[in-house]
Amino acid sequence: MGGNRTHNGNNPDKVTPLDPRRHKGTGREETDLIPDEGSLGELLIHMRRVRQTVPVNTRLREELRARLLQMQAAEGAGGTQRPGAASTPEGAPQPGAAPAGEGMPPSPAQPAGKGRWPKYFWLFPAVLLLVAGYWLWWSALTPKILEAGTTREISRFWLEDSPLEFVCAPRGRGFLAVRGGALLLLDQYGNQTGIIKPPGGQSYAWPALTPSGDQLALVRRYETGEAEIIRAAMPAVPLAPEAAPQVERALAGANVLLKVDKGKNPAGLVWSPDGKTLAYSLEEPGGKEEIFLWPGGKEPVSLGPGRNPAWSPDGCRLAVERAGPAGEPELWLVTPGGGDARRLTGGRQPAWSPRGYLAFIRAKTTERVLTYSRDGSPLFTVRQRQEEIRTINPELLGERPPKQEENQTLPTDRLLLAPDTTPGGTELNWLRQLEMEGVREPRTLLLDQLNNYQSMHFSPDGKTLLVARRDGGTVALVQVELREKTTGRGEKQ
Amino acid sequence: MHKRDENERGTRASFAELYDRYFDAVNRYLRYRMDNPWDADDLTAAVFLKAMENFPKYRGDAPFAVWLFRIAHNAYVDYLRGRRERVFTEEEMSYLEAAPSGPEEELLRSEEVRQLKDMLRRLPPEQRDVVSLRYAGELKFSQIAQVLGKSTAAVRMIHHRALKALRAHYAKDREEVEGVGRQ
Repeated sequence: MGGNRTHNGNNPDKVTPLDPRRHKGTGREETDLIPDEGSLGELLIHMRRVRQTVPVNTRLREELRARLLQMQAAEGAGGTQRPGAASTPEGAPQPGAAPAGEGMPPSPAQPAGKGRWPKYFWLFPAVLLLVAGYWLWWSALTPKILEAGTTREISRFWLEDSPLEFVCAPRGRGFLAVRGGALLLLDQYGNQTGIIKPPGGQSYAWPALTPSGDQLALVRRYETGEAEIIRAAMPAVPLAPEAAPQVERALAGANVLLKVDKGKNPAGLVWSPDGKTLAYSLEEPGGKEEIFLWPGGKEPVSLGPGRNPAWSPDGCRLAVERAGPAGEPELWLVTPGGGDARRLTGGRQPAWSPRGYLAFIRAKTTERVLTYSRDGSPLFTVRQRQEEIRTINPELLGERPPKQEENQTLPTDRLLLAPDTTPGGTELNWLRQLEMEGVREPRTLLLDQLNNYQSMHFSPDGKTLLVARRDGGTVALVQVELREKTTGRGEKQ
Repeated sequence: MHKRDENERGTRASFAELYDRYFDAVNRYLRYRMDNPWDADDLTAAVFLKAMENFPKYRGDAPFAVWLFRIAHNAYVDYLRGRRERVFTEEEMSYLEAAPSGPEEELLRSEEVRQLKDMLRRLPPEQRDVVSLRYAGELKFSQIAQVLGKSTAAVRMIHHRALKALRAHYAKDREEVEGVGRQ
């Protein structure tokens, strides 16, 4: 057991190493060992390995450090100096210790001394101007791409026949989701704070909040087959437990915007950026789907075939999903006037960020090598069609996206979230079987298509993407932090 | 380590220096104990904010690690209390409970972390406290004793019992896994 122990006593970041340590003076080891315990050594090795497996959030470490620095700078440099040093037996500070008045190191913008201010004062606004100028240039001219940052699971639901329908409330107020015909309220941490069930014989579907979060549109379906689109005023409070009765009251007194004939199925509700026009799709009994706009008090306007509309941030265009010649999903750009429509690329479920990025789901064939032969060539391989999330910035394509051949994709789209290619039980069982049969020739396992992603929405500020991801027998609602990155030299956008 | 503690007491160590030294241990301790890493990160931030606020009151009577982990441990206990006070209806529970997962889903998770958290859950609370502070917080027995307000001998005894219990769970889990593998 002792032989398996790793020595980490030299690591200054550790509070205490887990190896046996000698107590000063006594020479006694502080050890975790229990003598004559059979598998304990293995357990301890396991636990140490687990400790290394538990990751530390390095990003939080840096961000929190910066925040603490800022707070301390605001409070004044001497605000958090530990006074305990004065009451220690040693009394006076030891050599090499930080000078009095130092807590966190001063921030770079903070003057080192009052006497220096008048001399270099002009430097401060000059640097600010330079930074502001650079920022303007950077934000306006430099081509950027969207990258996925930290991912966190908001909530998890049982898998149902219908996809998980959800929407983000603005300013971190929480999330709304529809499951089993009921409206669920989730707070900003993903805790379910309320469930609003419709009256008997009715069910809710497709929640859509205006960008300001003050209006909620919903589909209300009746058991008789009829449906209507309703609108309710949302309370301007976080979706905490006390908000549930208010939302319930608002839904009870909701306005009916549109009644839909029996057998037709409204879906994919989404408000325009100004919160005045509602886009939705209508599925007819034969399976035909058509996009409509409800421009407030007027008759709905048809935008042609399609489903899952998404508004551009300026409200001048919509991305919609249409079936291609072979039935595969494609993204099209249409205008609210119903005029010029152009195919953009292959994919489904468009979501348009307030910052201009269009995200969508596309299936692609992945090939994973599970084992290699001795000469380094692939031996056992798995091939599967899996979905991934990609983004594109339609603004960079201009008013008229380049014309493409069928089945072609734009060269400018970027991968945002890759499919999960971790080997699963099926692959492992296949490998075991091949091993038992003594197979040594290259083999490929073809797996069924994996649809990990159900749907997605950007948060109203465009800083996060909320994704419904299928995970075994459940659907996980996952929030992905987003960051913009400038493209490198020679790198294509 | 001992030397460093003495230095902390004797010198005017800055909060930044202490933050850099202990962030990983605190963050790992909370992530080790909590199922949701996001909540653990939030709590880590709250711990350091509270520590910074109260830093002027820190007298240096106990090592900084002990003082900081007392804050972290209390924050964790408060977090648990807050969660326990939440009332779920039966309908809500059906949504919140995780579905039984198949072998593929099992592999998608970090198996070892899951297994250890599972074993920890089966321990009595005080054993769980000691094991977490020891293996994730990487504290000495004497420091754990100060954090939990117990004697060092008592902590050693709790630790001993916890390892015995963990060993039993671990051996049982291994047997089950190997049994499945053989099938």
